[in-house]
Amino acid sequence: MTNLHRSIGAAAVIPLAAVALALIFPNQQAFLAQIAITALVVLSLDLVVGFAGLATLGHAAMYGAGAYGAALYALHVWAEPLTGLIVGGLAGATIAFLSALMLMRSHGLTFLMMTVAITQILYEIVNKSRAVTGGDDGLYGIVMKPLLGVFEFDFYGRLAFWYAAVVLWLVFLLLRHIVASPFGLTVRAVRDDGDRVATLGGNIFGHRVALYTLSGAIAGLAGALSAQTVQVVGLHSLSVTFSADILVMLVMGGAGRLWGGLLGALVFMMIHHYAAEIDPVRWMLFVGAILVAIVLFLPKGLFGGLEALVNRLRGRAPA
Amino acid sequence: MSALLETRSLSKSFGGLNVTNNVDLAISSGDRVALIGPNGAGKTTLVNLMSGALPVSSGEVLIGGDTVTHMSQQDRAHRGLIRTFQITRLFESMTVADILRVAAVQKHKAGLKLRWGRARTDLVERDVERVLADIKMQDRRDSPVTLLAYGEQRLVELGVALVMQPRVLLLDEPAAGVPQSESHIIMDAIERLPSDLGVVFIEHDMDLVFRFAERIVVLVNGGVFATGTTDEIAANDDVRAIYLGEADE
Amino acid sequence: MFSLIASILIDGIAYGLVLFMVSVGLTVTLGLMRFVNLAHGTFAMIGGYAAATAITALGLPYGLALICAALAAGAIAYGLEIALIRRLYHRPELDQVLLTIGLVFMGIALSGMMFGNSLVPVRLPEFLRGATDLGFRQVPTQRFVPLVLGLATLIGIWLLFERTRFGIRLRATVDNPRAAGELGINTRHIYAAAFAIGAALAGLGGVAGAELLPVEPYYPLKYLVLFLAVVAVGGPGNMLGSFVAALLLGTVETAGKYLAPDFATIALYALMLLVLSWRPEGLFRRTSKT
Ligand SMILES: Nc1ncnc2c1ncn2[C@@H]1O[C@H](COP(=O)(O)OP(=O)(O)O)[C@@H](O)[C@H]1O
Ligand SMILES: [Mg+2]
Repeated sequence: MTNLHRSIGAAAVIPLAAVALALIFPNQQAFLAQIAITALVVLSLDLVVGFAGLATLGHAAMYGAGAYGAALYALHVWAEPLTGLIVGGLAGATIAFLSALMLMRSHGLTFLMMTVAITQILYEIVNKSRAVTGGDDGLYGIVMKPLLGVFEFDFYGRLAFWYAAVVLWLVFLLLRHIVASPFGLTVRAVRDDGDRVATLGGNIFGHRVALYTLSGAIAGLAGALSAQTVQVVGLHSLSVTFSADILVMLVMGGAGRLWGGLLGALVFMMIHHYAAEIDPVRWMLFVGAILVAIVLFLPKGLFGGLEALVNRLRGRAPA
Repeated sequence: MSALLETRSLSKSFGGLNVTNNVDLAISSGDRVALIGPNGAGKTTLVNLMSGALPVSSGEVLIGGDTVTHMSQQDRAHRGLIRTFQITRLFESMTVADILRVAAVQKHKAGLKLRWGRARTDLVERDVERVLADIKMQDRRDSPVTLLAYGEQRLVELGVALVMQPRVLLLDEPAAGVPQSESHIIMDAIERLPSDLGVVFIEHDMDLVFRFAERIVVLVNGGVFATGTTDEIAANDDVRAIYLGEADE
Repeated sequence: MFSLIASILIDGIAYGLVLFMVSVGLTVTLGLMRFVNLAHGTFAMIGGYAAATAITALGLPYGLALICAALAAGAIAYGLEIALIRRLYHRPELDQVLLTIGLVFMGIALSGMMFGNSLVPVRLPEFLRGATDLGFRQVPTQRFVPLVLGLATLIGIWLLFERTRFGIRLRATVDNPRAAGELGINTRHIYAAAFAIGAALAGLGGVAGAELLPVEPYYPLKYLVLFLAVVAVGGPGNMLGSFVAALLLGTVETAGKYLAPDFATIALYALMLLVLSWRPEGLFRRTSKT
């Protein structure tokens, strides 16, 4: 397979999967839209966790900023979806950029703690600013204008799904490109040994800030999509719990690989959906056990495991 | 003309331990200086101070006549000072070619670029190919670096510095851990370095030192114990007693 | 005014000492053993449940219940260290974070299944109920429990580290595991013991602080940030640092609750953020003794 074939093949996966899912679950398009949106935010998290090597429990700050930003824009300014999407992306990027200036000189535990602190502060501010944000009632009654002035958002979430899937697809293609760019290469080098990159004249801080801002923009897009399609925004979108959930998805799929994030979100959301009947307590036990098992037995996640399996079946040595 | 790299009464202590004592050194264009001394003499620490990996306790470091004592490693690298590590430090998720590519990207200040582009690809790939040939590892370009033998990893470590085409190069025991059969690749690569480059070279193998260096600095207990041409140092009885004698035993 | 300041100080110090008891083990795990343990709060919760059960179901006196709490937390931690944690000492931080988040989730689920989802009170003996008159103010007598236990912990830890063979061996092991091994120190055993002792102290803290940080299944997640903040602000590995940080954070949050209840949480996190951006290594960096 040539590189060209490979890229075309990779580019086709998301559209094909979207069509297949729409055919298999014709009556659950709203849920499928949720999966696509979650996959998008997990993808953005992978930039920080997988590609920069920084464990964070504060990614919800950017997702929530995008969600509240897009919701307020739709309620008070203009209910047009695409400009709202841009507003969400900008909100996420702004929060990310400002916090990156504080965060990106630290790493490890200190970094983790600071991400939590920033998210909690944001959460409290939004919680207390009831007049603007609705406090713990959240924002509701978001009604979007037709997409591109033509397609109406329907009750069944059909448009929501295709809208989210297309955004996910475009962002995925963009990230594939970025990961392979000089910037992407340098980011991975900084993850492996930042100090070493500095001895070569690289600007570690600059790279981290740029990456975090990019990641925040994408998380913001996901938040905006959620606000526009679910039509409700709540405090959960800004919580540490949500941050932990998406971290679990990423790790389950395999951090450091874009495919891993997509697979993790899909599998986690599917299991969650069908396990919803079992009570939440047992669900937590299950998620916890999965995490422990993956760390112990599948450190590269489901995607890494699949890849190793395929390589073995093809008779190749594991990479 | 001012020296490429200079230290003025450079000192460093860890707690109460003086590891670098009033070191004055000047490296000029074309210099080939060997830095020798027993283990624990403070050779690596001196390289760390000059490259900015460690803050100094007192004294000054100058590059091309400008004080850089409080500048970051990054800024010193931009001024043409590059060092290698005694214990290999390579990006362990990467292949040989990608590691060299990382260095080339930094050299061409392209780390924040989101596109390769024809011109940039050409510049970077030319550097990568040049160095792969220099360290004779063309056939290893796509090997993950963690799968290489340690001796080969040492070659890549040197290769990273060669990509950067610095004005001053500090080599911390480049041949340590390289099997005898391959150390000539390292020496050849070093001998092919542009003649106007200033090179400081830490090495324990006296054959290599005498073959390569024009000037030798002997470091003992963090201070410069003796300095001179290779012949002067070879003839210096004190050095023989303290250092060469020890090596002969 | 005076009585307000006194109230803030008394409550803040009692709260800070609880934080210290729970966090001191974490600073050892994080700073000395270099293991990022997000599940540490679980041990405090286990202590709380153990004491509550000992008192209500077994009818043991409060003092014995405290011992039960420490033993239960310590024993479970010891088992976990041997079965899971020790496999992760040399793995990347991210893996440690993930494994221990997994343990937190499992701990929440299991305690919910065993003890229900509501708060479980740790019943106090007669002499600790009611109030003590300090002259200017009535103070709930139970405030003295964290005070006494917290100071005892501080002294005990100091004695353990500076005055016993175990302390010397632990310090040797964290400074240079290989050399310690060559000296005949059983480093695996030392690590397991240190982990268990830290957990046992957290168990005590869980009981002593049951009034301030009520025992419930979500305990480990709810207060995780608080415990980590103490460690991070105090400087990981620095026990005295944790002590000061715990008192500082405890007093700040308490002051916030008295003066501006709406902004207490924000104040706490903002303080943490400021300290950490000013000194990423914490207020008191661990300096190796030479
Ligand atoms: N970061 C450090 N902290 C404390 N002591 C150090 C540190 N780095 C080096 N040393 C001490 O400084 C001395 C010189 O070390 P080094 O420069 O590595 O010597 P050399 O490279 O000549 O073998 C040694 O005694 C070493 O233990
Ligand atoms: Mg050395």
